[in-house]
Amino acid sequence: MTRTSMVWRSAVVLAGIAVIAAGCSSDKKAESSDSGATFTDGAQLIAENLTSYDPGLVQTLDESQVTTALYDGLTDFDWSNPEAPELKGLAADSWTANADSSEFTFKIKDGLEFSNGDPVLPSSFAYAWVRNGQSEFASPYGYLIDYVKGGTALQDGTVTNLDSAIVADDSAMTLKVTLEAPQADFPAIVSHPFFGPLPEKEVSKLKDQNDWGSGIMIGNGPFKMDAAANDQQVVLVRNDSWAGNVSGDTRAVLDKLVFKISQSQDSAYTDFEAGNTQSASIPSGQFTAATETYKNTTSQPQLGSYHFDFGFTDPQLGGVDNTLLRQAISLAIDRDEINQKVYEGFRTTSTGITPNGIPGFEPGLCKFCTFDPTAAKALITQWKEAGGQLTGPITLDFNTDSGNEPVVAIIQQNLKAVGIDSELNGISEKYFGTMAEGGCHFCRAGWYADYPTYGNFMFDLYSTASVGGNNMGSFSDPVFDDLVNTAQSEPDSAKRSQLYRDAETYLLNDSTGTVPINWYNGDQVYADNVVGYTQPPLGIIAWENVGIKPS
Amino acid sequence: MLWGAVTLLFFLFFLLPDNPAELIAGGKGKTPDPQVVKNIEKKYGLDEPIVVQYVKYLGRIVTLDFGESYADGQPVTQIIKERAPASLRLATWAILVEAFVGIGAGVLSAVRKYSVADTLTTLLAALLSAIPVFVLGYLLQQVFGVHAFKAGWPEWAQLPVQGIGPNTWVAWIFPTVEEFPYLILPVVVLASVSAIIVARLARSSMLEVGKSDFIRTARAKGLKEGQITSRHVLRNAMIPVVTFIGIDFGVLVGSAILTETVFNWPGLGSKIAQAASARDLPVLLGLTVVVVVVFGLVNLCVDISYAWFDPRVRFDEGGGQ
Repeated sequence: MTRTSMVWRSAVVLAGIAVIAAGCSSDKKAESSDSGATFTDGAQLIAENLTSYDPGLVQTLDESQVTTALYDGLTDFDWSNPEAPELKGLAADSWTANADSSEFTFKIKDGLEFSNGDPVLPSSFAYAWVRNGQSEFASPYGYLIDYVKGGTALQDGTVTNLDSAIVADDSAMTLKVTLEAPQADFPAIVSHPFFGPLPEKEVSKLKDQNDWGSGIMIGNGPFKMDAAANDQQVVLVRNDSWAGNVSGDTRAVLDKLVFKISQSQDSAYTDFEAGNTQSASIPSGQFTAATETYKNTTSQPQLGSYHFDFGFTDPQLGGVDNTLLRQAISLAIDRDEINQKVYEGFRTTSTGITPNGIPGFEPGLCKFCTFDPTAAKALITQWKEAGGQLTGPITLDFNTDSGNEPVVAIIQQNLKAVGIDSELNGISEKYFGTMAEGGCHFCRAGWYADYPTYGNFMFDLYSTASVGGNNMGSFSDPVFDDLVNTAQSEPDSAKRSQLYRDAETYLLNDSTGTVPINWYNGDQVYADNVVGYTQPPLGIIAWENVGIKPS
Repeated sequence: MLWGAVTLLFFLFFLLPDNPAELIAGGKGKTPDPQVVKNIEKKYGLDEPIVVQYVKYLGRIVTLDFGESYADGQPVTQIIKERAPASLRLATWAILVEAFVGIGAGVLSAVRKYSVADTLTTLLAALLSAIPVFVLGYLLQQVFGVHAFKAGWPEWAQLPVQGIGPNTWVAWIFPTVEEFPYLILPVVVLASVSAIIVARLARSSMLEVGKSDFIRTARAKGLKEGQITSRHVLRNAMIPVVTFIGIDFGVLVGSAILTETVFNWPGLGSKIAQAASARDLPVLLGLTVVVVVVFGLVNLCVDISYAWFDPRVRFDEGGGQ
């Protein structure tokens, strides 16, 4: 036999093996059909959004889905009524604050355990907070430790502990925290994964703290890791030592929860359509088709806002003298047209920045958010009579990688209709940093809540303290700042909400520092045999409630 | 070559407009906190002068320490260990399909010149080379994944549309029964365009060799046409084909970016694309080193194989008269 024929014969054998293997292909859907125990998610994890599931490093909503299934923090929101969420203790039994909300004492529940049997103690939280806030750990959310007294020094490496600000008493099961400044929303802020507990005995063994997130993490949530996460999936199994959630459930329904990782929303959706996963996010442009094809879609309001900020460093748009022009611009924009033409009507036209689902929310705060070109023209006339003058087209800034082009095109047409010329300024790199550094003219902005508090929208986006950060238009107004600062130290939640609403009303109507466009809604689809799958406003799914209908 | 590739990429990286520390700090979707950015720069040594970073990097890669990913802190050597086998397996199967289908079609076209088979091969070549890889991948996913599922095709005909599946293999490149379906669509897409090129190359090369004097001599001596084709024409026509396939193997290992991305195949190509987008320099450089090494080794193998295909080629004769 020649070498040539040997090669060809080998090839035939290989092909034969391949054909036989194809013929013997196993039933790929057996596991997910009627077992009632395994859910394969395709909606949450998109590869480019993934960095770490470590509670100290987690930064995207995608990653948080896994992390919150693994870790229970001190508090959590009960979303039974999505429009009026209630903050409740999770690992914390209760908490108390001093008069000006600058000091909090959390009482931790007895008998809580990590999935390896180690107790969850006040020191488990104290250890995790300091570890997550240390400069060498370099957490993307490291700035959250700034709420704690001395946190800024921990972040810049000047100190290595916060022993005087965070006092854990494991015998009394209390965690006493002194804050840098009054912050009545602190119990809500600690619901963020950054403030979750860690099993100190295990984590402190690691030479490199990054190894925690890349290994089999031990937590105290409804699920535990079955294996270390890889580039294809994250597999969790029920944690039988879980203590329960804020609704009183003490056992996750599923035996196994598989998070499948996709390269894009489109490929995840194709995978769902091919029956390989039981949920997916609906890609842009396919909402109508998806809702017609599948009856199970999530459409609840989400805690996200899409808006445009005015740049207060822009002489044409910023300042008190141009308030009438800003109000006219807000009135000139047809938000419904944007919603219908760009988002297929699947977003909610907004009447403020703070969305429904934030405690204290009220609709209709904005007086200038209705489409009224006639009123807009009248305001422009008034503004010109008062000495206002456009010296050139106004600039519409937007980031080019997020589908904003059709939105700004509509806005440009809307503005032209009331006599305002504009030019588009699409930015592909460092958009947010450029805007924050004074580059904003009339700039596209957006925000998805880190935690469901009014302050997370008002303080983080529009306070003078946030200029150079998330306050993209460099809005700075002493009246607004005073209202927000008073709200932050107001312990009574009803009064606090009213102060925040007053601040937002001032922002929208008196200063008109921003133009709300729409609020986000749920955008996921799930299989017919799935129960308990809801997308609460914060976007984190209560995985312990998800189950599979028995066939 | 290796040093040149690493050096070029290293310095090109720092010409890019985005600061990787800001991206890690969430700068793609929000304004990063300045202290957080400083902490991240310090953690990854990005606060040092570029030349110092470069010298340190070269010192590390000598000991095969490619550092840690900026994005997720995973050691790059670990990423290589996980991803290189996936790419090599996919590329190997794609090359096998490419070679068998391409050479087979090429031989058929050459032997039956201007026949229906030859015309079909030419038309198919034009069609497949005109369809972008991601479009072909999408179409196959829709037919064999979505439509097959919705229409209730037999289970064996419903193919996975993404992922590597259980990632279980026998004797390195042979998939287990559970693994095999995951390989089909990526291999078909990856092999399709190249197979057509191989077919056209094999056809033209065979026709060229078929006009040679020694073939005319073989015919004059009364050798059967089948023997002439298989023993003389085919073997001598293979040198350009093997050169192409060899180079293509190197390309498929490291640059199957579109196919790997469309099918979420966890190989080197898709990771390189992700790393470039996330400004993840250690991953970008580490994986590039692997691709360059593989490319070099494959080219070496191709050069050596010339001697087998054409005994006139010998490496120990000094290369000239």
